[in-house]
Amino acid sequence: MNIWVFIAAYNEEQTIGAVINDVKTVTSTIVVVDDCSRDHTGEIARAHGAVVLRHIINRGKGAAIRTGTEYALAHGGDVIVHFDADGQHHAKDIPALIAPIERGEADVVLGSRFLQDSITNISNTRKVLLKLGTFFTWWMSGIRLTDAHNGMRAFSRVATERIVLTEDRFAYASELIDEIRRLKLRYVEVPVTITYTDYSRQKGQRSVNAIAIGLKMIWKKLLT
Amino acid sequence: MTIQILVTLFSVLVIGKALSKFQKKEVHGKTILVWSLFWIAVIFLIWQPNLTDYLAAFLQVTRGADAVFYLSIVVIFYLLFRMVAKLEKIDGEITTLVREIALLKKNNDT
Repeated sequence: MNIWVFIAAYNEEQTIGAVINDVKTVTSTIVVVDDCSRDHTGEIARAHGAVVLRHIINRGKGAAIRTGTEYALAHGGDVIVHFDADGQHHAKDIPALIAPIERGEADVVLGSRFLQDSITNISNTRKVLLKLGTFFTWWMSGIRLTDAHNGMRAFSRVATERIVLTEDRFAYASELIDEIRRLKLRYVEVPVTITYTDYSRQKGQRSVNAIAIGLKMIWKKLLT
Repeated sequence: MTIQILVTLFSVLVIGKALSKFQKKEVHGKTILVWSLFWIAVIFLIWQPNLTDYLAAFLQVTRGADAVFYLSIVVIFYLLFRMVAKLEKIDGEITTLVREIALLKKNNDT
């Protein structure tokens, strides 16, 4: 199977090289969407052997994911893996992540940091917020997960072709879960390790943004 | 009296500004017409506030000023909703353009 790892990156020059090197131990087809970084993220990614697509205006992670997905689909990707650029994910988890798709048991595999409590250096606030996010997703989409906002996921080609994402920013993660329900895709969660560092904490989503995303999802639900 | 003069001056200023934009072909004639009619109505009502009593009677509200206030809120919220919807549409279109450029550039490179 042709496995494509896709990384959305914005100002990640400190970590992107090491992240690509880590992913290269699993697959050589790596696509980085440089979401108009102001630093050298794109150049470093290219130097480390990744295919780099560059947004000329910053459009957000959801938009970057759609760009990378379109490219991967056009170039024959069978399994598409989403991987974060800030170094909190580990490529050693990718084989277990894609295994249910390779066995034909699932269309979507979602990484979970809470299935085996495989998480290090997480603050209590973050933990509570993630749990609330999971509960919110369950309430909104009817899909009960242990970790609804984990950036590490894998999709079969068929699932990727059918999923329609419209959210440009972080709300795409909730929209993705809605799509899994709408399309009745077969999904499974597998444990993945998340390592929080000072850098990833600084780069990660702010708590206030999570509230804004929640409100936006409610607003969208009311309109549709 | 002071408020009537101030509102009239402001309305004339807004109409003047709109007409100047029309002359520069920055906005459509239809938009200018609706916008000018609105501000002319504002001038009219500020000098003849009793006219709002008819509106109040029609809407079954006690005072004319209250009727204007309630209607304004409804209209403002509607316009705000339309504006947000339009902004979201433009936002989506910008993303599509940015994506197409990224993919085209990559395809041209290879």
